[in-house]
Amino acid sequence: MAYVAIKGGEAAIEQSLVLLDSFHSAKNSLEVQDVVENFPYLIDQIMSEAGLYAPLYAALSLKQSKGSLEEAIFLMRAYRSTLTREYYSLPVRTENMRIFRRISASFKDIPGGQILGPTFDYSHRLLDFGLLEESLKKSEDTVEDFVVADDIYCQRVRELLQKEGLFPEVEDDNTEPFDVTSNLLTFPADRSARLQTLTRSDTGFLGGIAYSHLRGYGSVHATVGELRAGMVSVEIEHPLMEGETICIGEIYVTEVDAFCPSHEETSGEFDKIVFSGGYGCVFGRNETKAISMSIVDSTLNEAKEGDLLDDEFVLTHGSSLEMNGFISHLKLPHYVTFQSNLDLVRGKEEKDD
Amino acid sequence: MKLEYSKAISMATTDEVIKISEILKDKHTIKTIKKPQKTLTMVKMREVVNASLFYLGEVLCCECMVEIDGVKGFFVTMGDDFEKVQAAATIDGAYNAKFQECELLDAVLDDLVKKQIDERKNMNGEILKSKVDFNLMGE
Repeated sequence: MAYVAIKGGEAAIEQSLVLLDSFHSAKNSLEVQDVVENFPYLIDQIMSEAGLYAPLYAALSLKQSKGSLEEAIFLMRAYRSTLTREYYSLPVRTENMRIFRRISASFKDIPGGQILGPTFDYSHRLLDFGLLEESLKKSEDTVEDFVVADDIYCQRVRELLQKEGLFPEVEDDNTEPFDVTSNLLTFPADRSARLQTLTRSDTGFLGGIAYSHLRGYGSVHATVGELRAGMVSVEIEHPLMEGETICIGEIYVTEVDAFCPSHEETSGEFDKIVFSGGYGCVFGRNETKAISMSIVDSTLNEAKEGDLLDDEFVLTHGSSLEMNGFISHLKLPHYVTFQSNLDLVRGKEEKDD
Repeated sequence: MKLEYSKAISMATTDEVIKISEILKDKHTIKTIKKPQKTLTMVKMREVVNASLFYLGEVLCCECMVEIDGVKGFFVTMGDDFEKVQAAATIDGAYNAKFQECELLDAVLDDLVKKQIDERKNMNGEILKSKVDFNLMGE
């Protein structure tokens, strides 16, 4: 069956766009910088799912899309495609992270301590009606017991287990990563392709996959060995001065190192129980996503034939743009498709009569 | 330019960087070779499980190249602040040319590094107050 080109609807579409503005017009417009400062978690989620770290532009996309996350991510991905990528950073090492928060669910006592940092984890989930009365300009809070301290850096929790020989000490693997934004993803996917795809995935999708696995649809139950959030420097080689490095700035990331017991075959009667890991790292502050990513990574590391979860399923269905785009396309005319379904049903009914 | 200076410049305000570049403005001829423009830097991460590499995502940056008395200077920094990146490229050019003003630039940039470290100290102190002090019940 051939497609038929049709015309019409231009005026209706134009009016629809006018209505989009008038239906959602705000009495007080927020400055883009206000959006950055008031909704940092949302901005982080947009940047992570768009794969583009640009807080001001993420806020702009959110404002333009009137708070629609999927539209904001679409705008960011579209904008990103208009720019050229001139530089690749040197490998970022998160052991050099300037820590804002760092906890371990595996050990109580860790070198550097459990630093809760800013978190909702222990907050009362009660609406704060005081915010209704909040003035635009906030007064600076006065801190009474003033403490000053140097930047906080922490040793990795993993190193504790490495010292005991429970985790293997691994040497740097400098194989160039696969880039899913420039190459077609093939399966089984390279681990670098997997991690890049997961970090760009939709937070809800990744959370759902990880949750289903923890509930019993997977064989891995990971423990958060370490969760850290803070600033890492991004450095590139100086294009003119050989051997020199330029720091282009700092980015805020959340990283999770998940520990999972796994079996290693031995020549003896029983398997040996060892530890394996899962890794999660995302732009900004999004702990649920980073933990989910580490669980999915560890699950795929341990995947065996016949497992419910395979990398093709996870890696091809988590992109916000592709997922929402595909679902959204169902709103577009499918007149011919439906007519053919209708013809089939009518034909069947006539036959039955 | 030292790495720590480039970090300080990247984290500084536009006004701060422009002010530092003004040390060079009247004494040297500065030409723009590559106008400030937006670009992307792909962030390469070292994960901890296998110590392998993967791409975390891209960072919006801007870049600029200048020539200062015939010597090239270049800078890339996060964001889209064209004035700042141009001033930073001028400072880089001065270091590449090894101008006598480098000593003064060193002093000014050392101050900037120190100022940024000092500005973080209060926040660091507040963060450290959230470190858990485990005590056994009954002690």
